[in-house]
Amino acid sequence: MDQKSTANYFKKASALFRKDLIQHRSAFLGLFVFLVFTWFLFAITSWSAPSRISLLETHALFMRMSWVITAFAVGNRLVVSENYGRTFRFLETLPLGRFEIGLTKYITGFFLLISLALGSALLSFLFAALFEAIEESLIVAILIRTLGFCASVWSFVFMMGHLGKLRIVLYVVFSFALLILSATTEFELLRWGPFALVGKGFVFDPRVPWRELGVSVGLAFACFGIAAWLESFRDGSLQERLAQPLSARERAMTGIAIIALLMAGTGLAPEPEPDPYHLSGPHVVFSRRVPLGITYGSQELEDAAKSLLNELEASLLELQEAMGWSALPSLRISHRSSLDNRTFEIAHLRRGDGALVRANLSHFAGKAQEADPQGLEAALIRALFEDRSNRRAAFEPQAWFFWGFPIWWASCGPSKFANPSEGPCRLPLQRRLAAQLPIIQGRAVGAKEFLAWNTVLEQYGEHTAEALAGTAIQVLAEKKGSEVPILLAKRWLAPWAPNDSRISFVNWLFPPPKQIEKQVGISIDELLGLLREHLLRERGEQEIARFVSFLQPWPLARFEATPGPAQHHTLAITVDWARGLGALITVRSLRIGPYDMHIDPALLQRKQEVLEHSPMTIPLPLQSFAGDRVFLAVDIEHPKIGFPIRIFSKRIDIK
Amino acid sequence: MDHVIQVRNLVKSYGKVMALRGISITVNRGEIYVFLGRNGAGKTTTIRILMGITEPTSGEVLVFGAPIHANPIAIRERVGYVAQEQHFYGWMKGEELARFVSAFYPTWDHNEWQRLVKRLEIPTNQRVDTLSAGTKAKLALALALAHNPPLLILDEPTAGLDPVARREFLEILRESSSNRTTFFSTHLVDEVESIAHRVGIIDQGQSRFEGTVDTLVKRYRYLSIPSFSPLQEPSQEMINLLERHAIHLLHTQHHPGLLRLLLQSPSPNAFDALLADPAFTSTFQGEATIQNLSLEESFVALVRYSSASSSPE
Repeated sequence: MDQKSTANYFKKASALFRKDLIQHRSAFLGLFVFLVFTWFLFAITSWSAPSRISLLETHALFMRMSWVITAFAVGNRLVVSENYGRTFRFLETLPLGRFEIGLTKYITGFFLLISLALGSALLSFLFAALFEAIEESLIVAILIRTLGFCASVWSFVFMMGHLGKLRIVLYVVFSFALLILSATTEFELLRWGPFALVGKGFVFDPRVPWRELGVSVGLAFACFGIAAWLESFRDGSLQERLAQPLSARERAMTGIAIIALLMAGTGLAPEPEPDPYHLSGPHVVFSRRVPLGITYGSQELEDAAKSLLNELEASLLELQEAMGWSALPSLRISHRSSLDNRTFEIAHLRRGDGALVRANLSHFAGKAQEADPQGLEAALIRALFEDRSNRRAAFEPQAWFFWGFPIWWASCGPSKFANPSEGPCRLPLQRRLAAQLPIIQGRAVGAKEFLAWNTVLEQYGEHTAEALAGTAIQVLAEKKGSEVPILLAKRWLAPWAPNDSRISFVNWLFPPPKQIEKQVGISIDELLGLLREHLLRERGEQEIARFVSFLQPWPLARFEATPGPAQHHTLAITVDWARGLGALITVRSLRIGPYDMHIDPALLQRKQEVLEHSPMTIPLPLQSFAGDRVFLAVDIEHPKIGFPIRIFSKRIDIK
Repeated sequence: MDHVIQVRNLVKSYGKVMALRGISITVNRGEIYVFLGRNGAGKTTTIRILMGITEPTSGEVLVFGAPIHANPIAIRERVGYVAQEQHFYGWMKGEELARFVSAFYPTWDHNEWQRLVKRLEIPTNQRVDTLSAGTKAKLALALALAHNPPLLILDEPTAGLDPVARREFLEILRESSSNRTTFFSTHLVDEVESIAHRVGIIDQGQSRFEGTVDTLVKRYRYLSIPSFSPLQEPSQEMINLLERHAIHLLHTQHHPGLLRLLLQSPSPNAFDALLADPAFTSTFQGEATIQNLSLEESFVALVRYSSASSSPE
C-alpha cells in the first residue's frame, strides 16, 4: 500500500472503529461496569481467602472469569450482530475490503480486551504492591502471559463469530471434544496452550512458559487465518444461512444434542477410583454409631484400636449433639509406626471428604504408657473442624479457639467432667506444663498474638500453642461456665463455611474479640489476664514448680550465617544449655518467600542432634544465599521434660 | 465508443447451481442502461460481481476499463450504489450515516449531500429505522450520489416502493443521470421505458438481449385477425407466408372475436415487407392488422416465448 492508500485505509478503519464504539456503547459500558465490579469482588476474595498466596490472584481470577465472559460478549457484538442485523450487506458495498473490515473489527476487539486485561493487571500490581514485594520478572511474565491469553482467546471468539448460528453448536462440540479428550487420554487441558498461561502459576511463576505461549500465539494466528478465510468465503446461500439466528427447530435440535452429549460424556467418564484414604483391608475397625474407622496395620494393635474406637465414639456423639450437626463426616485414624507418641498428622483431604489423622497406635497398646489419647482426639476434632470450615478456621482471627477447643473438649468435654466431686476439669499435665513456657521465657502472650495465631504457632510450636489456647478455654469455662466454649464453637467452628468470602465479611463486621465480649461478657484482654493469673497460680504445684525450675536458666540458641564464596552462606545454630546434656535438638528450617504468611510445618526441613556438650554448634543443611529469607526453629526434648519445647524461632533475612 | 462496463462470458456457479451462464454486457459512458430480468434471473449476482463483492467463476469484468478484481476498492470509490433493500444501521440518524459513509469516499461533497437531502426531502435528524421504505430508498440514492460518482449502479431500488414513491425516485434519477453512467437493474419494465437509453435482458443466467428499447420493441408484433374469420388456428399457408418474410410465429392467443399472433423477426423491416406483400391481403382476407408491442410486452415475449438460443444483438 502506498502512503495515500494507507492514510485512506486508516481514515476508513477509524470510521468503522468509531461506528462500532458508538453502536455498542451501551453494551460496552455495561461490560465495563461488570468488569469493575467483578475486579473489586475478586480483590476482596483474594484479600480474604485463607489460602491466599498473593493479592495478584485478583488478576488471575479476573482473567479466567470476567475477561473471558467479556471476550465472548465483545465478539458477539462486533461480529455476530453485524451479520444478524444484515448490516454487513451495507458495509461490504462501501469501498473497504472484506479483509480490512475483518481486520478492523479484530483490532477493535483486541484493543478493547487488551486494555481491560492490562487495566486489571495494572490495578492488581498496584493493589498487591501495597502489601507484597513484586519482582520485575514476575510483572513481565504476567504481562506476557496476559497478552498471549488475550490474543488466543479473542482470535478464537472472533473466528467463531464468523460461523454465525453454527457457532453455538460448535462451542458445545468443542467443549465436549476437549473434555472427552482430557478424560480419555493423557492430554491435560489445563496444561495446554492458553489454559496453561492463566493456570496455576499465572501470577506466581516469574518464568515465561514459552512453549505454551508459542501454542497460544499459533492458535491465535490459526484462528485469525480461518476467520479471514471465512470472511472471504461469505457469499451465496451459506452466507445467508449463517446470517440468520437459530430457528426454533434448530434451537430444539441443539438442546437435544447438548443433552445427548452430556449423557455420552457421563458414560465416557472413567469409573471413579477409590480415594487413597478409603479404609479397607483386614486390619480396620469401624464404629457402628459414628462414621469412624481405624486402620491399625497389624493384629497386635487390634485391641488398642477397638478400645480407642469406643472412647472416641462417645465423645464424637456428644460433639455432634453439642454442635447441632445432623451427621458427622467420614472420620479416619490410620496407624503410622514412624510417628512418636505426641505427633498426630492431619491429612488435608478434599473438602467434604471428612478427616484423616495418622497416629502411632502402638503407643495405645497394652504395654505402652506414653499414649496421648486426648492429643489424638483433639487432632481428630481439629481435622473435623478444618473440613467443616473449609480450612478457614486455621487462618481466621479465632484460630486460637480452633486450636484450643479440641484439646479442651478432649480433656474436659461433657463426658469428662461427669463427676463434679473430682474438682474442676484440667488439661493433662503435659499441656499444663507446656502452657507455662511463655511465662518461663518472660513473655506474655497478648491479645495481638492471640488474634494472629500463626505467630504463636511459629514462636512456641504446635504443642505449646495448643496447650496455651486450651488453657485459655479452660479458664473461660471456669469463669463463665462450660457451656460457653461450646456456644462459641457452635458459632465459630460448627457451621459449614461457604467457599467464598462471606465469613470474612462477617468477621469484618463482627470481629471475634467483640463477639466474645458481647456474647460471653468478657474481653479478650480480661481473658488473657485470667489466663496469666491461672498459670501463675498453677506454678505453686509441685510438678509444675519442678518443671519451671529445671528450665531456669532458659536454654539459649544463637543463629550464625557465615558468608562464603559467591554470596553463599553457611548457616548454623549454637545451643547453649549446660544442664540439658543428652537432650534431643531438632532444628527446623525452610527457605521462605515474601508472601509466605503461614508456614506449613510439614514443609520444614528437619535435622536432629543430641546435645553432647554445651555450647554446641549445629550446621544447617539449608543452602542459602544473600537476599534469601529463611525460617528457623529449634526444639529441644529432654527426658525430664517429656515433650518438645521451642527455644528459638525466627524469620531471618540473609544479608 | 467509451465503455464504462464491459462484461464478457461471465459465469458464476455456487456448487452445482449455475447462477450466471456466460453473460455479456456493455455499458457506454453517459447512458442509462436498464438491466432487465425476472426474479432470480441473476441480476443481483451480476451486480455483486460488478461491485467486486463476489468473485466470478470465469469471464472478464472490466469497470472503467480495469478488471474489477484487480482493485475493487478503488473502483468502488467511483461507484454509487443503491441496493434493493437498505441494510443501514437503524440506530443512526441520516446525518450520522452520511458522516460515516463520507469517510469511505475521498470525493465526498458535503454541499451536494445537503442539496440532495433538501431536494429529496429526507429528514436527516430522524433515526433511520423510523423512515419509510421510500424515504430509505431516497436516502440511499442521496448517499450514492453525494460523492459524485461517474457510475451509478442501482439494484432494483424501487422494488418495494409504492407507485408515487417509485415515480418520484425515477424522476430524481433522471435528473441526476446527466454526465453520469447509470446501470439500473429492475424487473419492473414499464417504469424504465421512458428513461432507458439501452436495455440488457437476462434470463436464467443468460443474456437474451442488449440494445436500444426501440430495437427490442421493433422485433415483435401482434397480428390480430377479427373474430368473424373462420380461423381458429393459423393455417399452414399463413405460416409459410410469415416464414417467407423471416417472421416467426411465437405464440397464438385466442380472445373473444379475435385471434392474436405474436410474431418475431430479427429485422424490423420484415413486418413492413409483409404488409406490402399482396399475398398478405389474400391470405389474411384483408381484415388482419399489425400492432407494435410495449417494452414490457416485448420483454415478456423475449423471456417467455422466444427460443433459448436467441442471442443478444
